Amino acid sequence: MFDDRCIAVWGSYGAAGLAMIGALIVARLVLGRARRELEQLKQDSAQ
Amino acid sequence: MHKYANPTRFMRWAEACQPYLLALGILLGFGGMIWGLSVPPDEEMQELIKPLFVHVPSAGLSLIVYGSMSIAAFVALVWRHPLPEIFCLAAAPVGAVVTIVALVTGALWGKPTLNTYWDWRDPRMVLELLLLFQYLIYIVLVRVLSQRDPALGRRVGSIFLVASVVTVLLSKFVTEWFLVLHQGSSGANVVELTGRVMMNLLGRGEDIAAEPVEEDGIASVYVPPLLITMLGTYLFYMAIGIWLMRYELIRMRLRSLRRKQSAAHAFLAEATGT
Repeated sequence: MFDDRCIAVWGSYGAAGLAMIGALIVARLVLGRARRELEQLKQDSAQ
Repeated sequence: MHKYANPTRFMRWAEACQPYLLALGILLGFGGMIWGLSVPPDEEMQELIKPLFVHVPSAGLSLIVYGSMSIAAFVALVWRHPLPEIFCLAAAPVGAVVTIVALVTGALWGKPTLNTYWDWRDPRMVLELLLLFQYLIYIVLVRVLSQRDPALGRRVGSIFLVASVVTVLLSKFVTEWFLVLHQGSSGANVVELTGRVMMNLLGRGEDIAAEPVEEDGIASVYVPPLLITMLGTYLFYMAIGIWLMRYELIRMRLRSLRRKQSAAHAFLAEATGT
């Protein structure tokens, strides 16, 4: 059903696309978590 | 110039540009990929020309990121400035991701074209894998050493980056020096073809579907989608890098706040005698 040529074309586009989407989601998540942590720490310090 | 070397000021400027870089990166990156999927088949490779539009941008970026990290690390070591160190910390995961993409797309493309997913005797392939290990070693080295002393961790990481830049230089020239399975670097070919395409657009060149510059080079009809995908991919990962630089700055701020908080707790405990 899938020959090497088909896997080479769709597999490489899939890998590149997934990496971009994954990088976007992970970067957004870690940055959001760090921002929340900073806000929390600032509130704790103020108290 | 020096005023932008201040991390806070630089980040204010970088974060203002970030949404535009991201939007343009997504538009050009994914647009270029769709264009790459719809190009006419190559005379020799037929449909197998298509992985070129995702493999070349990621392989090129993996070298560019490591090269710029090494330059930034050198600047950090000589001028003892925190901004290049923050850049290195943020760029390392981006570089590791694009290197994985280059390795995966290269292996998938290699099976029908070179008749193998991987060949340990090919220096270009092995150097790309070594580059991935270097990214991972840098990330682990800095994270582990930073648990005790963040400044020491970043400094040792910078020394490692400067010392290991030879991999990037070797990767660039190995296809010219040795007989390898991997085809020659597309860089010079793309630069020359871009010139021809530009001349063509200005109405002063030959036909756009001209023959390749070199025997194993790509035809000029493939240059515009390749350049668009490259530009889009670079802008996209630059935007991700800016987010990660912000993340690293917040982590530094968190560490300093926690240190101050524990010092205040210790002082209070001593003052109240508890």
